[in-house]
Amino acid sequence: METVLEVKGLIKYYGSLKAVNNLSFSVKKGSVFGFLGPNGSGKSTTLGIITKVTNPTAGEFSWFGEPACNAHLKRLGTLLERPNFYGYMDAVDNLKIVAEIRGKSADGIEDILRVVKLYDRRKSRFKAYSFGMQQRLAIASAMLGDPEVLILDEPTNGLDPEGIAEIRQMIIHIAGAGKTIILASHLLDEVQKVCNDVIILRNGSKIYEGVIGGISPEKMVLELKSPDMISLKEVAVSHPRILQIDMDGDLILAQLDSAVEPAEINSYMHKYGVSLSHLAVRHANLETQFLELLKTHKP
Amino acid sequence: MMRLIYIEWIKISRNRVFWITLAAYVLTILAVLIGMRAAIISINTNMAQATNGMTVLPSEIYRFPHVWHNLTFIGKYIKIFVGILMILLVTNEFYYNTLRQNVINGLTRLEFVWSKFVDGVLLSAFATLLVFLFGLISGFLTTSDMEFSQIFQKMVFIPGYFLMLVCYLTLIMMLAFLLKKAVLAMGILLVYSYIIEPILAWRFDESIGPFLPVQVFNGLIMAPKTPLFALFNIKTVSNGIDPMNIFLSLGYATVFFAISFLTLKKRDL
Repeated sequence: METVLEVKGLIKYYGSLKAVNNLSFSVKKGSVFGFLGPNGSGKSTTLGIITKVTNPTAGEFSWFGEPACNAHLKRLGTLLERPNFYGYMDAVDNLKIVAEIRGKSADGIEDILRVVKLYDRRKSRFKAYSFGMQQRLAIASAMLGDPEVLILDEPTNGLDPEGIAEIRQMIIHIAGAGKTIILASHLLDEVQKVCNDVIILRNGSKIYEGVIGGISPEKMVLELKSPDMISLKEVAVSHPRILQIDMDGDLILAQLDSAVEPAEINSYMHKYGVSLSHLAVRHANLETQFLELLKTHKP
Repeated sequence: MMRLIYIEWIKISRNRVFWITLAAYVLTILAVLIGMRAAIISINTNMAQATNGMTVLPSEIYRFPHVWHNLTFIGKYIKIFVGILMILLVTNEFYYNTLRQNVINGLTRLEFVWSKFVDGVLLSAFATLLVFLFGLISGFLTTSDMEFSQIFQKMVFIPGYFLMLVCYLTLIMMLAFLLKKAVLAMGILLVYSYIIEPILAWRFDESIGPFLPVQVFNGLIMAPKTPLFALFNIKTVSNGIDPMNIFLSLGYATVFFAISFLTLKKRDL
């Protein structure tokens, strides 16, 4: 598959602080690439470097298979950290400047403002916007002119739950159109719902790269419930493939050593006279995996 | 280049602070240019009374061909207004963090410095045009026995004034890029150009003094050669433009432009 972005041996020092430590990764065309990591792990610094606002101390990167230059930036739609616009200008004029710099037509401005639900306020000055509206204008600015690659750094920052859901839908929709999206977030839920590939950073270093499910694919958790919980516990522990059981409210969480058909567990329970009132697969939760990963990579 | 000018035009045309400051500049320079004549007549009357009929200033400052020199010389003392506009245009981009956004969207750092430099050139052109038109109109109104060739005789001060403004604004652009904050840039500009450099120029009168940037720029338009000005300091009086000053001014402007660009190039935005 074609590679959109290739980063090799990126290093960035702020004084004596190593913000990015020998980072290499690549983003494939058409993928939704998630950047994960706690605050201060080097996500934004890395995105700043690949969009040329931050000078790397060492390392190189290439866009679209060529050494990075400014012409490439015009093919990206970028939202970095917080929205930056001219406070005294309205949404339309602010986007006009963006269109002009990127060499795109200004015709799409009204449409894109409708998409982010700012059309009615398009003649208001930017500084009169709430933070959520400012963030939506920043998303509009990133999407203006239909760029090949979207770089979104914490795009749902400051949005209400409805706005967050809308942005998520938008990202899925754009990804469906074959665009490449690079999404940085410290919200695992956000990344989990939309990304195919992830990279996890900690203190500027890469601690994981790959597909989301692959972070710890061999484990599986089942939710079990029965009117006779005591027998359930006994029988569950006896099952050869259940490693341990935990309680979660009135549910029993059974950790299995590998993926098992739930039907097999059901018939096993039945055989020992336990009838189940609830049986479900608990999807591998990125958050627990993520925290585990961070624990094992303590500096 | 037209693209850069268009982008700057969108930014400037909606900027109310810019237009108010520009209007203040236009009103001030018109008031000073108009009021100058009355002031000079008054000074002459007083002088004549005190010295038994001797006048020290030519009362017809608007007459061709001297009008060009007189007006640009007066205009030189009000150029700080244009400097404030320049500071605004650059520091706004830091204040709103839009320099970063412009670069993210694909504007190169060099293009950015160019666009601000072009702002300075256009501002200078506007300020020069203002003085030129004022000179033309007042010259026609006050020169009675006029020969056509007189109009153009000392017009070299008009391009001289333009060059002075462009170079001066390049210095200010550099300060704004270096300091990022409007108030700071303004303060340093005032302290440097009105205190530090005059002291240095006076202290090193015989050596580097005359070659300091603001001295060089101001030296493009020396005081008109009248008995009064000649009385104070013969060195700052001239009825022409020294080619050496033109050369040094252009040199300084180039260096300031380069420093602006290199500052920006090295900086994480």
